[in-house]
Amino acid sequence: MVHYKLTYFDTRGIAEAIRVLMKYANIDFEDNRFKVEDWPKIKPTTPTGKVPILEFDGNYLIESAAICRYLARKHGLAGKGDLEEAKVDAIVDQHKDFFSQSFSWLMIKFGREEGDEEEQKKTKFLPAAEIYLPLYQKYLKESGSGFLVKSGLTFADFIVSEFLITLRLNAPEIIEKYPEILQYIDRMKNIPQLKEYYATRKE
Amino acid sequence: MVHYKLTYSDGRGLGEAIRLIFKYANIDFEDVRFKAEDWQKVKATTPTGKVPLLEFDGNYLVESAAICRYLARKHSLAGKGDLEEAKVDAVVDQYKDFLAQSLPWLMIKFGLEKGDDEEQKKTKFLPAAEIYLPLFQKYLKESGSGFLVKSGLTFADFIVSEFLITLRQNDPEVLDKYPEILQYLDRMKNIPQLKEYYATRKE
Repeated sequence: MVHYKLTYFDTRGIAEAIRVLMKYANIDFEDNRFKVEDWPKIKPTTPTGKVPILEFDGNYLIESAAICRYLARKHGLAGKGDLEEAKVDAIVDQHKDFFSQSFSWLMIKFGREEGDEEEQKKTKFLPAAEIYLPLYQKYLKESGSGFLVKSGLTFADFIVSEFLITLRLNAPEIIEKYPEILQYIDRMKNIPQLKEYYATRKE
Repeated sequence: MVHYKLTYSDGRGLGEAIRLIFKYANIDFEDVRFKAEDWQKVKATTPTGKVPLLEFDGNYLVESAAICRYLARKHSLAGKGDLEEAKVDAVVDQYKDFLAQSLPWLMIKFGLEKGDDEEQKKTKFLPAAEIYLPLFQKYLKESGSGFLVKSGLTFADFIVSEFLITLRQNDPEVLDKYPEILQYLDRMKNIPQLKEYYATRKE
């Protein structure tokens, strides 16, 4: 059996989708978490200076979406058929664009960067939210599955839902305008294999 | 035979990597290009308001990397084996981060946005270039194949090389410190199946 070791900050961040996927698929893994202040010490011990990093069998992978896709493909979580796989990939790419518009605002809000939080929220995050939140809502309405694509749960759901949870924590008034999105987050949190994990983890 | 129709602006941008895959793999496609002033008209005719857009068999795909991966998987351009496929995906994700840091500068330089292009270049692009150009150079040195990964040409090469060409057009000296990258761009342009295309296309 493959021994997986995931290294990331002791937060949800961009690694939580990987953790949730592994929990869902019942894959044992070493959840190697470090405190933010220890990052300068940990960084030189990693192959590329980047986290999340997944190590296994003398190999390593970086980039959260690439790691998710790699694991997802092995566990029926990448979409059914090449066309749906491409739609899943497209949703994850769109998430990355939304994320990059939101990043500065969140980093300032979390105290990890200097800057004008309200300015970033107004000029970058909110215009992006006006584009991407309706888009996710549309995917959810159209899929018929309760998840982002027709065949059901995929790694796109783990990635996107984590981000939506973060947005709800930091801009609840924005997320609460989208009922399908709120129901979707509930639906994710009630997936039988994950219910206990979601209920007990630190958010 | 599948009839592919690619819609994108009449420039290289995010669509060119897709065109290169089609050319390299000798796949016929309808190359629909529009002028910037016609975008609003064209946009209204697209399923999602986004380009590049690939349409075929009554289906459509958006997001340039997802489209590239979809086609690449069918034509042995996605990497050999699941581990290398994940490495290819990671390289493309890293490029996307580099692109996000470069876009503010490039958009001003292209006249598509207002702002101080020198400021964006100095504060966003150049620090990112100091991280990502050595990274691409490292991949090229380590692969042994002349391309970004060990097994040879993949869609990551089409995506990354196009972006490097664009960077060099807008900052002619930016690649001078990276001889492997300059050789790599020559190597791409001399791929037999593509040599004529590169030599005659509008750059």
